[in-house]
Amino acid sequence: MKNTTIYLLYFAFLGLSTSVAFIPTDHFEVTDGYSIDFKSKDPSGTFKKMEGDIDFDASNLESSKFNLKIDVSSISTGNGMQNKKAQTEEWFDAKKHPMIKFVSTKVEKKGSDYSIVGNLTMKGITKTVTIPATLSESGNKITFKGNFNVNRMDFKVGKKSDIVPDVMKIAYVVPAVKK
Amino acid sequence: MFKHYFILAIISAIISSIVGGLYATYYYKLLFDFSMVLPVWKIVAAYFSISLIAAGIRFLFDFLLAKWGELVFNVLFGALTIASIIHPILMNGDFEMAEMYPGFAIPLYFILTLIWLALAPAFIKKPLK
Repeated sequence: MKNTTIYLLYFAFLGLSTSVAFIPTDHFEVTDGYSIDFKSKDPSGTFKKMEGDIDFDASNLESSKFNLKIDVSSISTGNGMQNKKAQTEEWFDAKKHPMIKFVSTKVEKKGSDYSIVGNLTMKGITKTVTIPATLSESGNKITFKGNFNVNRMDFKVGKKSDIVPDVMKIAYVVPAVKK
Repeated sequence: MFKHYFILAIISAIISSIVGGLYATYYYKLLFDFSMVLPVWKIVAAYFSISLIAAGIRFLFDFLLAKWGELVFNVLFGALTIASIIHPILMNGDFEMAEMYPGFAIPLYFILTLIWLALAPAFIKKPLK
C-alpha cells in the first residue's frame, strides 16, 4: 500500500472512532408540561411529578438514552381515597418503592417515529418494555409523546380484579430542554 | 514505514476490544449493568481512537527522538494511563451503583496500554533514524 493510502486510512479510522467515542450527544432535561396519564375502565388518572434526563441525537441513536423517574406519591385519580390506596403495599408500595423508573437500552427509528426499548421498574420489579414515541422539535426543546400498554400484574401492582383491568393504557408527553 | 505503526494500532485495538468487550459484557451480566453509562460499542470506539492516537505519537517520537523515542513514548503512555484512572474515580455520576463504577471501569483503562506495549516490538523493530 502506498503511504498516502495508509495516511488516509489512518485519519479516516481516527476521525470515525474519536467522534463515536468522545463527542457527546445533546443532553436534555425533562421540563414543565409533561404528562403521564393512565386510562382504564376504572381508575384513570395521572402522575403529576416526574424528572429525568435524555441524551438524544437523531443521527446517532446508538448513543441516545432516556433516564426517567416518576414520583409514585404524585398519583392523581381524581379521588383522594383511591390516591391513598394506590400508595399502599398492595398497589405501588410507595414507601418502599417511591419511584417508577425507566432506563432505555436501545432507541430505534421506526418510519418517522421512534421506538424506545428499555427497562421499566415498578414496585421493585424490572421488565423490558418497548415504548413508541413521536418526536417534535422546537428551538432547544424536544417533545416525545406516545401511547403504550402496561400490564400491572407483571409488576404485582394490585391484585387480579373484575373492577380494575390488568392492562392500563398509558399516554405520555415528555418535553425536555437542551442543557 | 508508517504502515507498521498503523497495523500495530489496528491489531491492538481489535484485541483490546475483544478483551474489554468480554470483560464488560460479563460484568454487566454477572454483577451490575453499567451499559447505560458505558456501552460496549463506546469501549470499542475509544480503544480504536486511543490506539491510533498512540501510533501517531509513537511515529512522531521515533522520527524526532530517534532511539530515545521508544523510551519516552513508553514512559508517557504508561504515565498517562495511570493518570487517566482519576476520571472514573472523580466521575461522581448520578446513576445507580455509581460507587461501584470505578471498580468496574479502572481495569478497562489498562487493557489497551498493556496490549499495545506488548505488541509494539513485533511491529516497530528499528529506530527511524
